[in-house]
Amino acid sequence: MIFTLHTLTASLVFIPLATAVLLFIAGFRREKVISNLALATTAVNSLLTCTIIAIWFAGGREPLDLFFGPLVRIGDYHFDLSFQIDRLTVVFLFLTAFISGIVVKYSQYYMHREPGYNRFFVNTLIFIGGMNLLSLAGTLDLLFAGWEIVGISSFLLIAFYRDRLHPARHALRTYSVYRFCDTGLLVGAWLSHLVWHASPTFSDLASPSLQIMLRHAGEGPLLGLTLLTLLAAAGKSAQFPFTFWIPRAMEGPTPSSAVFYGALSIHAGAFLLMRMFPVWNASIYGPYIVGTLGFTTAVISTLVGHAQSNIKGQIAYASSAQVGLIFVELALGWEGFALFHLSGNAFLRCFQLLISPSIIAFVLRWQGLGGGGVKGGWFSIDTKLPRRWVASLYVFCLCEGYLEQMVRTVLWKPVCWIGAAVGRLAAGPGTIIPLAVLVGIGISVSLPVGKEWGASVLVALAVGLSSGALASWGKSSRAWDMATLAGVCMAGSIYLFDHEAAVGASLVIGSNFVGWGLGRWGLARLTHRRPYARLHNYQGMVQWDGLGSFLVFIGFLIIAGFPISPGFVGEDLLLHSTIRIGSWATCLLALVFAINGLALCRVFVRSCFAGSMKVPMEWNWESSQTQHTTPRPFPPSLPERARSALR
Amino acid sequence: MKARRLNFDPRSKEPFELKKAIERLAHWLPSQGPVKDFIHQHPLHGFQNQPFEDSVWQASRMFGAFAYMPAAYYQHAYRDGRLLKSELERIFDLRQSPMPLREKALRRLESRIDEPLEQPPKGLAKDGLRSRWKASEGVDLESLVQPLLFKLLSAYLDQGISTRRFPSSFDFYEGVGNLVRDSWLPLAPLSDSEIVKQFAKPSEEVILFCLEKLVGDSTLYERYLHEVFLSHPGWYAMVYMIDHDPKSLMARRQINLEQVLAVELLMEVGWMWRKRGAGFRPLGEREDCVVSKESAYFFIDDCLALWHEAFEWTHYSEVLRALVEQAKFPRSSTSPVSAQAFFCIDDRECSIRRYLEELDPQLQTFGTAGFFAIDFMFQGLNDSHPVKQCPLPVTARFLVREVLPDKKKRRKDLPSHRFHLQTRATNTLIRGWLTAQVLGIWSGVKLVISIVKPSLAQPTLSALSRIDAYNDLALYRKGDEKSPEGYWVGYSLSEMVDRVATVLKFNHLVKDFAEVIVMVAHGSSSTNNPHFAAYDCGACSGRAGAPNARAFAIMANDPQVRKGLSEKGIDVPVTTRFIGAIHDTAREEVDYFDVGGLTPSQSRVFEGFRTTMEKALAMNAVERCRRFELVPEKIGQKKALEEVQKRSAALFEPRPELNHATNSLTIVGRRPITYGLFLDRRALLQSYNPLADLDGKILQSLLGALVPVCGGINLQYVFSRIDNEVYGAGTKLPHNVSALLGVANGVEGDLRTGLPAQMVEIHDPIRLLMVVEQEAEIALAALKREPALFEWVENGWMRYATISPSTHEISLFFEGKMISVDVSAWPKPPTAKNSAALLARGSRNNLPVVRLGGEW
Repeated sequence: MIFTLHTLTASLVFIPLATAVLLFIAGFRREKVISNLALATTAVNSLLTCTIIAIWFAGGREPLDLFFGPLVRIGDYHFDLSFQIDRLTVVFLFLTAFISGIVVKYSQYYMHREPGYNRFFVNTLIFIGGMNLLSLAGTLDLLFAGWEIVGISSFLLIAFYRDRLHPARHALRTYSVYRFCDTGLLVGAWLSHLVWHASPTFSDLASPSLQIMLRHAGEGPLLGLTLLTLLAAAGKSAQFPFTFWIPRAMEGPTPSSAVFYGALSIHAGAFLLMRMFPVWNASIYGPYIVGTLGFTTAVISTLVGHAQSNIKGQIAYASSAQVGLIFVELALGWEGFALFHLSGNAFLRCFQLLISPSIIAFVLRWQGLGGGGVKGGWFSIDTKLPRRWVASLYVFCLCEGYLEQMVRTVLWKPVCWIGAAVGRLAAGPGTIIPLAVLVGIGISVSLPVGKEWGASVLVALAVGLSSGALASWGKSSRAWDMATLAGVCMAGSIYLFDHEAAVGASLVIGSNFVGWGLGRWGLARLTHRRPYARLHNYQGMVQWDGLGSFLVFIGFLIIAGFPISPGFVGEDLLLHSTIRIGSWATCLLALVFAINGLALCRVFVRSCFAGSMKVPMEWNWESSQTQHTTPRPFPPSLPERARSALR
Repeated sequence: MKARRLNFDPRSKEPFELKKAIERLAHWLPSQGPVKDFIHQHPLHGFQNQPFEDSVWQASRMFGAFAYMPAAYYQHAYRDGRLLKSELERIFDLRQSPMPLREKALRRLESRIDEPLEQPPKGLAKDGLRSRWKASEGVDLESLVQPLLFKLLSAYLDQGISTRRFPSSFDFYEGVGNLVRDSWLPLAPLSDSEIVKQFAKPSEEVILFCLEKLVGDSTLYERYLHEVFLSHPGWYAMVYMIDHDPKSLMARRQINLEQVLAVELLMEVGWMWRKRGAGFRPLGEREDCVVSKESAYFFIDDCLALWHEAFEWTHYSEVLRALVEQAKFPRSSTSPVSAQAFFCIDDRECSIRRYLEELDPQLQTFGTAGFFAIDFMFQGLNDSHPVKQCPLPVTARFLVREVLPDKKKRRKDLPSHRFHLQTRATNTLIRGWLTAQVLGIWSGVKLVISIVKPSLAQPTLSALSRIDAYNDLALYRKGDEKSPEGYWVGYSLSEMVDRVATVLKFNHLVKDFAEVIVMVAHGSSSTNNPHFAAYDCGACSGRAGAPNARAFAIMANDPQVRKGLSEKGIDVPVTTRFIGAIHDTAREEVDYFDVGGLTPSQSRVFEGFRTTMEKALAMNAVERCRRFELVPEKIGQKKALEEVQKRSAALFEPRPELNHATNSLTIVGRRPITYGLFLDRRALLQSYNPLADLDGKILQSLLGALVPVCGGINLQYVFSRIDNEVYGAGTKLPHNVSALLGVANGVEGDLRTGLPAQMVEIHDPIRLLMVVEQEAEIALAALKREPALFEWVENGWMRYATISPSTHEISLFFEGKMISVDVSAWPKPPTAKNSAALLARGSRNNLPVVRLGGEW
């Protein structure tokens, strides 16, 4: 019985991801093949889900733990592969299977003849795999893997129209929120190591022994855990103060917006809160904090949503407001009701987004039927308020609650400020040499002084380098080097503190090196074509060099510690080691992790997306499958040719 | 390749006058108003007084667009035989191209390797004065200014999406001014104290103030404003259209270009002050900003124009040759006629007429503009305001309302409307909380149903001017009643007679009336489609023509109107009955209006017509299905009907029908020259009898509507196809409805103008060929009497040819005169037994012009 469940759940994660890889590698041209494969995968996915649900029901609806064994075990650290099936898992698996099935079927026709047909289904399948992993994960580490997969596929689908500026920019913006909030999970995992001296499975969380340990840890760590969990949840679910990204994420094709920001991805935050319920509920303040955050979001999103004059923005804010209410329900302890609310909201927003193009016809008809709305008059519920109140309220709504400005000022600006300072310092000839020299000096100076000092210098360097990479406007390869070096510095510093971290450090450094090489290879292909490419312009390499962009992308994933690279485990190992060092090191490590990933992503987006090159519509579709003309870039040479012609 | 100088001198010679400059610059804006009444327009109308070839290159530089299709497109066409060498050589001779050019054009075309794509110039918005802000100051003004500006515009103009309204009843400029003055909270950068002060001045002064700060050099002002317009033409075009036709909005707004410019420039100044301090240097004082000489030059690939013309002529030659054959050996419906049917000139009706005639040789069809000369504003029972139901050039002076017959209840909203309404209500907090759960589960069920089995019970929301066959039309004017908007309410008797007589005379139906005459208007059902209006009748300003057909039939059946007609020499027998009908071109369904009270004989004829029509619709569905790639190539009639009906109702179908795609012809003449001719749904057919119009007066008034309507449709397709990102709306899939006025990409994009990619992807960009069956001199004279129309032909925006009714000779307009064309060099058109036999060969591409009815 358990053996079957093991296979079933494993294939639930594995099959969508494997099909995605297959589709990507095979690069099928025929739409039918692509969509039928994707459709078959969703069918298998639904079948597996139903079977699992059936088994769970038959087993008396008790939470089931599935232990696959440890992936890594070093000293007291172990990274376990374990799944958990309970009510929450079942609801999320069902939602994922149902909604993704419908949307894949929908897109089979909707995406017809769209350049990037294959890419769309690849991303959707990756998303399904990530969502399944997220729902099934038995430990926080594994959940984090699913979380990252969902995040990256979301990023890719926002930037689906990658040769346009707005999708590229908004994808990066969304990713930056995700990345920052992911630190909540990272540090949270660390904190849970600290509290329980192990990485407990979710089912253990509620067990009496762990609850006692939790109480022993005191209110401080508990509050910390609550806040960190909430940070991660708020980012993913577009809650205060991160709500601003969600309307801007509506850049992809309508079905992808429906599946991500209407239905599934936006509820992942609520899922995390439900998973961590025993933890934040143990804190005295926990429920109040969660409830207040949810309520604040609900109020602000409703206000802002009412002033949205475009349909997708309005639905996005409405959805975020309802998720806020779900947070409130969770704070009140109504978990069952929250689950029901969540499913209803998911279906409703998905449907609303899918039918959003029909809003014009609808409103015209509705007004005719006496439905009110615009009749030429100025209707407003605010007529009773004083004029200045109305204006202020409206400006508040128009500026979307100033949330973006707030987040920018608090989080983004300081990093950019540090980065710009570092950039000025490190501005020398060449790229990597001065930096490497700097790192070398750091280490050699520090060794005689003592390891604490050395490590501190390295940490400072890491922070400086990663923010320098983020704020860089120069050559992309330079930013790439800085970000990689920052990761190396971080790993090195932790190694200096604690020699037991050797494995983790070498994993991180090794994967950084590999990722660096791949990325530099890709970027070299860019500079070969455009020697003067700089980060202040979008280069759009993907339009003429798919391989180069792919290399940069993979390099970014590997260095950023995406779950395909050993660096993912390495980061976790390093985090584990920081328990012996101190919380400041953890926070800095997490910060570098966030900034570094962001800087790499920025390099990727700016060098590969939103090019200035125009690609005409494909013609003669069938024959273009075989004879595809690749556009030739030559914008800078125009005036030169003009000059020579005039001579 | 040759360098050519374009007169884009950045500095204007005349002293700067704001009003005039804005009026001049507004010409370059696309003319697209609210998408709910999508009207096909010439995208380069600002260039219309210049020759086509120069214009496309100038537009290419101005907008950063492709001028023609990529070279490889013509190479492919050459290999496929859609561009013939013989035609290319003819074009060489006609244009007297120099020998080296000929050789080069042919060599490049014949090359077996596809030429790489040449990039067009960057466009003024990206490569001009304003681009210096980013390049030398490092301030990306556009991405700072545009999101807030679009938000303000969309909030101010919103027609019913947001529930919290812009808190002001003033015009846009004053409204924004009041908002920033009244608000305690900042609205960066407009709320900066220096900027707020400016709102006290009128908008013109503010623009001049800002220009002085930003540009400094008055000779560059106009150029700067031009670049501002081009940086987001969608919203500026919308503002311009609303300013010129405030009635196009349901909730009126006062806005004009000056006001928007003032706000945008104030924001630019505000941001510059914030980023670079009050002392920043204006553009005009910088050495690096002066637009360099080189950028006024750019390269013109002179082969493209030749290839394009030869590509067009390969198609034209087939058509002209076939028309000569048709004229020499005319065929027509056999007498006595069973029934007569009037259709719109629309290219989508071209095939249904062919099928009707194939099925019933006694049936006679006519093509006339689908508003049937009924030039009115129509207000349906459930419509909140009247809509225009006649072509763009015609001014509507009459208002007709739909009224309830006695004792009938006003129809309640459909369940699907109610559902949409409820889901909208969930966007509020508390109601949303209460209803999201239940409605959510219900919408899950609806989603499954809508994917598995699409039907019209889904949230298909019919647009305005769909007509309920059981209500009455208030058609007769009582006294001199005028509506508050100043329209005549209903028609007087003599006005009715005029309208009926016009249609009958123009179609030369003055004798031999059948017992039943069906007036078939057309419309198109679609779901989940913001561009629904583009699919309806172009001659009814983007509406379904049902009210017109119905009104016409009622008028023509009126005994008093008949009396008036006979006074004009048109004797319609008492036994003749007119019946209004509407053809749904997407679903292939026809509804008939007011069919009660037919005499037994009429009833028999009508039943016959109806049966023939049902068969024709099914065959038409088969013909249409061959263009849909996801439909199997061989498909039965029943399956084909199911397929097209599913398409119109499916949420997931971005191509409910292909609309005017592949249109390329307008043929004005008697039916015999097109009878039994397979034109592959590419032709707009207007009935016209040359023998009854020796002075060309009728032709002149026909052209008055045909040229702008057909030309507008055609050029919009041509340019949307050539550059879908600049002239077209791009792909439909990420579109987001903004303010109920138009679509944008995502939430921060500019409004998109033109046609989405899904509508034009199978279109070959061929300029319209208008063939008139008339003597060349008469036809030319008729055209020349209207200078506005003559401009279209003179500058090559459409081709104008005539076929002489006496000698069957083809003449073509070329360089100011009609030249005779020798058709004997072209091969005779192929023949086929009938449409079904032709289609059975199976192809998804354009088919050649074929004469049906066996060997000739």
